[in-house]
Amino acid sequence: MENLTIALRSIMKNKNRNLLTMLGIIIGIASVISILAVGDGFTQSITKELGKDNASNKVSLSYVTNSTDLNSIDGFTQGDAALMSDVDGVQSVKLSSYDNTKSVKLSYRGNSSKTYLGPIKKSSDGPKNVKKSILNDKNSYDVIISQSVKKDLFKKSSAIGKPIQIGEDMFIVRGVSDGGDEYSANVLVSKGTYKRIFSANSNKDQAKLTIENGKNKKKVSKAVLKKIKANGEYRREGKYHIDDPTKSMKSFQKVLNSVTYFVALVAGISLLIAGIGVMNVMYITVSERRNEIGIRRAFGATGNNIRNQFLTESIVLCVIGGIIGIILGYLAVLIINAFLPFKAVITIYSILISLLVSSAVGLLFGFIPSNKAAKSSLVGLLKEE
Amino acid sequence: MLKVKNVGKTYANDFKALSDINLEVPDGEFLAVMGPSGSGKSTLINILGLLDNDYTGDYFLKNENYKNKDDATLSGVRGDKIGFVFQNFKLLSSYTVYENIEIPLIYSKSKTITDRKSVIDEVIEQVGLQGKENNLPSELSGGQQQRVAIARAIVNNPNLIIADEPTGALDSKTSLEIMNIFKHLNETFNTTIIMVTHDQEVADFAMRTVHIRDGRLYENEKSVVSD
Repeated sequence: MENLTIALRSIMKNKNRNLLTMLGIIIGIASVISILAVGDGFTQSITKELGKDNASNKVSLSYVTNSTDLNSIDGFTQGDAALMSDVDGVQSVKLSSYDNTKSVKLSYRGNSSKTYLGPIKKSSDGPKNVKKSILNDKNSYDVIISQSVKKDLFKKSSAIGKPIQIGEDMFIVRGVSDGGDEYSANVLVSKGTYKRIFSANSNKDQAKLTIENGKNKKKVSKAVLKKIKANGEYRREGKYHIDDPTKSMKSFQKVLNSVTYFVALVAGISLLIAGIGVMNVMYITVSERRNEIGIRRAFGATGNNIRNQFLTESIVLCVIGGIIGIILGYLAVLIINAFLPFKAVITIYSILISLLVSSAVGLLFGFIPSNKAAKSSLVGLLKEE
Repeated sequence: MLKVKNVGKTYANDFKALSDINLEVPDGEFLAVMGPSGSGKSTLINILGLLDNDYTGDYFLKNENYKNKDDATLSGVRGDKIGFVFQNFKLLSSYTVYENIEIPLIYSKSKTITDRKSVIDEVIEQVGLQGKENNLPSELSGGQQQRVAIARAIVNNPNLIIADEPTGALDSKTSLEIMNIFKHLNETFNTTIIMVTHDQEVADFAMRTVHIRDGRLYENEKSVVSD
């Protein structure tokens, strides 16, 4: 306690010098705090996702074909579904389309175009001048076509209100959207219409399994995968795999890890430089206060007392720097959060780590100067003015 | 209470600062050590004050030999049994009068924090510095600063006070005041005082005077170790 007062007093006496010395610690700790916050935030968001995934007893399998003609390969067949439900532990199997598009042929007065058709996902997908009611009506025969389709079918004339043939049905063009490319849907219909007319015979490239309660989800899904790989109807035309919801996160984690290493390096270097600065300032302090050390020693302070006094001062100096660093790190995290897809969080654990690291720097780099103070010859100390 | 036997001190450069010093100081004595500069006075009182442990011979304090004791023991004895007064006061300039006097109590094992204030108030009164508790040394005169130093030396109620030219930086009037304080301490509390001085007037306050010349001790100008 006495040492703490002495330390604070001495630090306050040389405010500027000590603030500059702390700068390295401040930068180092701020980096440590912010990178830990990003890491922790990321881990928390993953755990949340995984928790969702783990809590459910659902697994999904995908089929990816090697063939270029998407429509000729169905992916999972009803036979495959039956096969999979036979596996021990599988409660039910539901087939669905992973990608909601269908290859279609459009024609208008002898002009034709081959492209993909899909359902409107959100009403915001369509052009703004199209009435939302049209897009939500499941019985409508309304379509929105992309600029490229419009060019193919109508050239330079207007497309709005014109009838086009899709498969065997006639549709009315209600709008032209800006977007659309070779691979995504260039023709949009309402969800209901898509389901009613096109979805019935679309590819089933996704199988959603429900696992019986109490069964090992991983084991069961592996058994299913093995079975479908051996017996699936279209096994020769494509590949089956278990969907991993954490896959995209894993690649992000890789990026995060390299960022972490970089920031850790920066933090490490700045803490090292800070440590050397602390050592330097402690050497100065000790030599400036030889008289004080001599007086304290003469009046009963042991060498250990003196060492502890200066060690305390060095640690307090670093911890103050650490606390400022934590505050700066907190501000940095507020800024970082504006650019992150998840929320970086500062945990108690990372604050403790920071305080521990800064105390360790103080202890480590304060030791030699403090020891020097403790070991100085008493007669020599008292001779000085 | 204090006995020095065949003490010698040779510095690294082969300079013999002290040789064959034999000295006995009974409890309650006020001893003056005189001698020209460079004679070994300071070396002797550094040994007597347990500030210097690098010497030959033996040193008994209250019948205990303090030769070759470890730092913790020596520091403990310095803190609890010995008080120092230096020529240039040696006060901490950024500490108040009160805080300067408090220093020995910080390291003393015998006083708890709670009775610090009453002890300090008492010694401040003894040296006549009431009302100056919160002043910095720079705000005091030389004589007042030396009173602070004396208060600091006696705050732990030591058996022995070692004073190294306590009036060396003071004018003669102030010197007399300071010497009267020492005399009072010696007479009232039976505190043993060993004082180094080169001022005969100051030495006259002591009961006995010894002289050091070229590292040897003489009593009344006569060698104690007559060979």
